[in-house]
Amino acid sequence: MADADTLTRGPSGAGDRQSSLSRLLNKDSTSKWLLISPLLLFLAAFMLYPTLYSLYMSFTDYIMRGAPNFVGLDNYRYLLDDPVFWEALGRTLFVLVACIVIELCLGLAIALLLNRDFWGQDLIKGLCFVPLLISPLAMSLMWNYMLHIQFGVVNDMLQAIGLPAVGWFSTTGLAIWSIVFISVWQWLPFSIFVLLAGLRSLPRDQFEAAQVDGLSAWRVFFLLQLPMLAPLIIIIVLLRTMWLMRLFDPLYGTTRGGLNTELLDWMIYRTAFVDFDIGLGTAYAMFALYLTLIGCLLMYKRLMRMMKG
Amino acid sequence: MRCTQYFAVSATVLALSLPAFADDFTLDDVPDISNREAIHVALEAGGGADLIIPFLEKFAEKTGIEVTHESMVFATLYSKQIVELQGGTGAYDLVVTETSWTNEWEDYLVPMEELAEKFDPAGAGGFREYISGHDPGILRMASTRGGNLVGVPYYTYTMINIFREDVLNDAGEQAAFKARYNYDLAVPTTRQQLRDVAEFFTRDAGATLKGETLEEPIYGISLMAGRFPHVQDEVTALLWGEGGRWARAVRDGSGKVTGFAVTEEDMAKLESAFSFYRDLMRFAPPGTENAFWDFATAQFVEGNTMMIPLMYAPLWNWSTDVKNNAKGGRAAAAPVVGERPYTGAFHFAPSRDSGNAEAGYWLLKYIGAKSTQQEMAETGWASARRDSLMAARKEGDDAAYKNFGWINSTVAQWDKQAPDVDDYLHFNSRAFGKLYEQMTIIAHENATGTKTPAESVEAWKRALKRFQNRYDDAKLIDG
Amino acid sequence: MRAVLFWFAIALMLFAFLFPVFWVYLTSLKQPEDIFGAGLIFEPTFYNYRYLVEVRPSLNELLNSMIVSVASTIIVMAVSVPAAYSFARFNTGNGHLLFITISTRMFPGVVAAIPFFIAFRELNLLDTHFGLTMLYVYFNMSFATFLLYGFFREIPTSLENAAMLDGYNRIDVLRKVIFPLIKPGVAITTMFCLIWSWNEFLYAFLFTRRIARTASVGLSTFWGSVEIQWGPMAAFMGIAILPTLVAAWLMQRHIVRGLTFGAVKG
Repeated sequence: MADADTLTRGPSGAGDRQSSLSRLLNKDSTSKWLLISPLLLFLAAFMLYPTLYSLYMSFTDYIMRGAPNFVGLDNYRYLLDDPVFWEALGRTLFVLVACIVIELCLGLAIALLLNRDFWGQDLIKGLCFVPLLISPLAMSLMWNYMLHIQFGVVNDMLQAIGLPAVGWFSTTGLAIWSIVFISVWQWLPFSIFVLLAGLRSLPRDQFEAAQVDGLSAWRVFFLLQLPMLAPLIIIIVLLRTMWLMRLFDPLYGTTRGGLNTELLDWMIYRTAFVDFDIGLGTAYAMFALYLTLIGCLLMYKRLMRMMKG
Repeated sequence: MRCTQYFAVSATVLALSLPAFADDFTLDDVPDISNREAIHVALEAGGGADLIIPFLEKFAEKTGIEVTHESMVFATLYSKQIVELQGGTGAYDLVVTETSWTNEWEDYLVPMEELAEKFDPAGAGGFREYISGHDPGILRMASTRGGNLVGVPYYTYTMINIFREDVLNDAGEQAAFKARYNYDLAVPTTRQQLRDVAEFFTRDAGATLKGETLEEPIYGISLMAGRFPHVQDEVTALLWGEGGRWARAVRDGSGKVTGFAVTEEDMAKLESAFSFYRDLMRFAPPGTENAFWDFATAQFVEGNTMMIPLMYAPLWNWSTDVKNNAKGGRAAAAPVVGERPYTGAFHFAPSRDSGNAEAGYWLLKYIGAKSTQQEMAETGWASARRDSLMAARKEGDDAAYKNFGWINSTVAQWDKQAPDVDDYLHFNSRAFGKLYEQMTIIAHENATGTKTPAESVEAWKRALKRFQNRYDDAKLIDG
Repeated sequence: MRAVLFWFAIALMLFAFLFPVFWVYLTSLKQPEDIFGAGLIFEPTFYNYRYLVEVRPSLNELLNSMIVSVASTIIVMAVSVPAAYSFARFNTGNGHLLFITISTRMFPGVVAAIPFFIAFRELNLLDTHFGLTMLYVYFNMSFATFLLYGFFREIPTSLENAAMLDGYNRIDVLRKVIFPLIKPGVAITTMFCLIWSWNEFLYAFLFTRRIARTASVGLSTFWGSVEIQWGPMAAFMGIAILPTLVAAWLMQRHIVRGLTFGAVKG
């Protein structure tokens, strides 16, 4: 593991005439803050500023014309009564749960499938990565074309094997599943690779011993391997929750929020960049932020406990 | 791309074109421009940008002023430009705007006559003469409700009815239609006729069309019911066609818009337009619920639908390709039912924070000039300049049919519609960019059955109240 | 029998993942009249590729994407590697700071864009490579820090302590002991940062115009108001995916083993 060579060679010449920076770095208490300071600077500039700005704006009636007037909780009151907002939020949560469940189940199945040595494995695993690489925005337009009921290649294939054509994006109720599908297609590789890496780092001999003891492969998986993967599953859920709460791209070239597919971030975009109702838009955003924060904080705490244990 | 075909045609037509008229404005008439600052032009993405860029280059070459450009997809055009304009960044010397945004953007744009007084030896009077070749209705749309023209239109998307002439003229179909509906099959001019034609040509596989058995089902009409602005345009055309309004501009004695009125009668007509649209959905192919012009026209071109009752004139060109896919297929154009189509134009407008309004003015004058527009129109481009269209129009051969077949019905509709424009909400409200989005959502939800026509009308009243009163000083007048 | 099933499953998976991409390339060879209804049989053309080079500023956009992605990734690494080390080694901020870092991705970017736009206008950063680069650093640093944090956690502190006892200073320890061990982590993180900066649209669109406009914005411009240029769009998608493909290929080895976030104890 460690470079034994480096260790025996001893201190470098530079170490003798230590700069003040170097001295600071050698002390744990100072170095930990010094190392993190660039990040803190970025956080202050790029996170604190927009968040505080938005928090302030959410209490005003700013429409990017004239000066913002303080209106107290008006925007939040409007939001609580706004069915469009709650519908979008409900849909976003639905898409979130659907995507995560599908990605975890399929991801785990494929990771188990790939967790062995087989011919051409590097190439095949590499190819699995391709959906993550493509521009999600342009791809949404491509999907609209490929899944079109009349001109889409997917329906051509379905009809070739005797199935009826399906209105993927033109059927209320189904359209939202098509959005889920696009998102899963793009992000499934992420789950696969995280879970595969997890499976690879599990100690094999232990499972082999268990199998010798007469446990079936399935029971080994559910009783031994799966619990050990739990932290990774939480990480996937945590990250995907963050990303999916802000899902936007798949709507761009497909339904644009039509057929009951409007998601939270699309609605916020509309409020902020079409209506230019900055007050209400920031109120939506802050509300969504609190919600995501609470959900993710719970998962994060759990994760940290597991990682310590 | 389709564009290259335009270019190929354009080259040959150009060689034959007549010398410019005396009152025309050409590149040679652009004087020396004292402000040497480079100008930046926003363009609407797609083939249109490809067509205009060579003209920008010619202007730059002639005047020595650098012209840069940036194309944006229509869906983001409004947002991006308004962010820059409201932010006062001075990024765009010429913005590209849609006629229904004119009033909303008034504060950011400079009236053309003001610029003419400042930079043009011909002055405001000369400019008025120069612009007179444009359609008066379109010019009114590109003007603020106070009457200031803020830009020069270069492209129209007035709707026309595109239909299968071969099918409507088929003797067998005509006889069958007469037998079923008791009147002659013809291009529909009333809603009832449109409905009947749509119903009549909606047929299952195995039925016949023009005496031949159909392998695939066909549908009467193509519609664009997806949540894109187009569904709003269709409903609007149906509403206007019956004399209805989304809201009516109210003017005082001097002609100044003081507010907007929502009448019971208009709302009843709106509800009937919503209901009628819902009814029509039954005769449109599957997929219509999420369709926009691309798939709607493709359905027609592939021979799956017999009519696009409300389609933008620029899609005529592609529609004529139906001859390649349907046996004996031939497209023809007619005015839409009610003869009050959704209409408007894109126009370039000089932005108030431009660093070189002088060059901007001359570039605008060049792009909007008769011969420039004619040069574009000869490629099949849907120019908004009437005299250029008339001069470019030819009849006879296939190329002429493909490029100019839309012009007659479009211009006929302009004439009918011009007097109405003054009280359309679209060209008088300063909240219209926002209202447009609301109308789109409401019209889409009506079309797909999420809301009933009556609920849609209520949703519209709420949206109008919220946005009009909030973003415009001319408010709703309760009554 | 098992082998047949295995290969069938693999084939099905690859088909699902790759067919859409294949269709993008196929579409890029089509003429407009073949887009609807032609399916697999058509006369291929390279016109779309020529169009990209001859008519559009595509190369410039690709170059901008390259500059911004690479620059932002380098800065992200410079910021995130030390920070992740600090989080992992010293538990700086008791986990709270790490969570705050992660949470930067939770705020709707659409809304954050408005204050950024105002600030960038004042600082003259609109339509500059530097401005967009900074935004991408903000985007990617949270995930990068979190991912790297996992890699650092896997390195036993004893190793480091031993080196310190041997008289190494912190910089040497980082350079000679730690860094070689987290190379795979750096590789994976680099790849994700590159891909995400490469494909980001909203900020690229709002914060650039002409000079710093990236390929992802260019990709949106094929959707006109009366026609979608399917062929050129697909061709541009096909070209734009290539650099990310190369990056992914180079890092491929590490991805398969490395994406554990340090969360699985072997």
